[in-house]
Amino acid sequence: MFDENIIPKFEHINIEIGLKFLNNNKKLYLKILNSFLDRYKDVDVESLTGDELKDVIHSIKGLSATLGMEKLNRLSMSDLTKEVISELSENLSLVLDELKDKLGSI
Amino acid sequence: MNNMILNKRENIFSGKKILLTEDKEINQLIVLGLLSGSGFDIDIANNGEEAVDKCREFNYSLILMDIEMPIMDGYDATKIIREKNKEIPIIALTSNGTIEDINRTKSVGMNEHLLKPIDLELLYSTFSKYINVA
Repeated sequence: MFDENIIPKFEHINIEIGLKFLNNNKKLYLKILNSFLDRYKDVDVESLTGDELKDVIHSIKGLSATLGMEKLNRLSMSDLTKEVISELSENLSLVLDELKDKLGSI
Repeated sequence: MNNMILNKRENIFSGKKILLTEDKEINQLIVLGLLSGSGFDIDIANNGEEAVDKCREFNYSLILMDIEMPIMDGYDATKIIREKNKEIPIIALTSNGTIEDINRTKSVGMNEHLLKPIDLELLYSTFSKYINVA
């Protein structure tokens, strides 16, 4: 049964930061986390190039800061070398796997 | 963030219509969620071109303007809107925060440059600066 008042504990997401930026609105925070999962679950960052890559990284930069995805945010603000993109893709997968696991269980 | 302070503002902008120009649906949801108790009637434009069209059609109290958008970005949209309307407050709402970014938003005629993640207190104080409430 979905409980909009319970935020699961995450390893890769700092929920204190996310709640702070969403005015401590748990229902809104969960809604946006679900939207983030829906938006990026099928995105393969390492396969993107040019403007498409720039656009996805730009979006992730803003959203990760808002939602408390600290490592993802640090990586999205770095110079986009092949190594950084690879690490960002790996961290995005960890975040998405955790969201799938935890949001599916509440 | 102090919920008690924000709760006192419940519906203080009732009757005011603003335009949110933002291409990413998830960012639209964030702004709509954060402003759900504000009383604002919020229209959405999915890019700068839509913002220009909507401004020809409606008289908004204020525009929130993303910068990087497809079809037409926030800079070009602002330049076109300013040709006809020098008065409407246009507030940049973007994750681009370099000095160059800020200077450019001012140079095309935007009134303020606010950053994402959104500081809700700052957003409300900006609304209060530009929108008269009864």
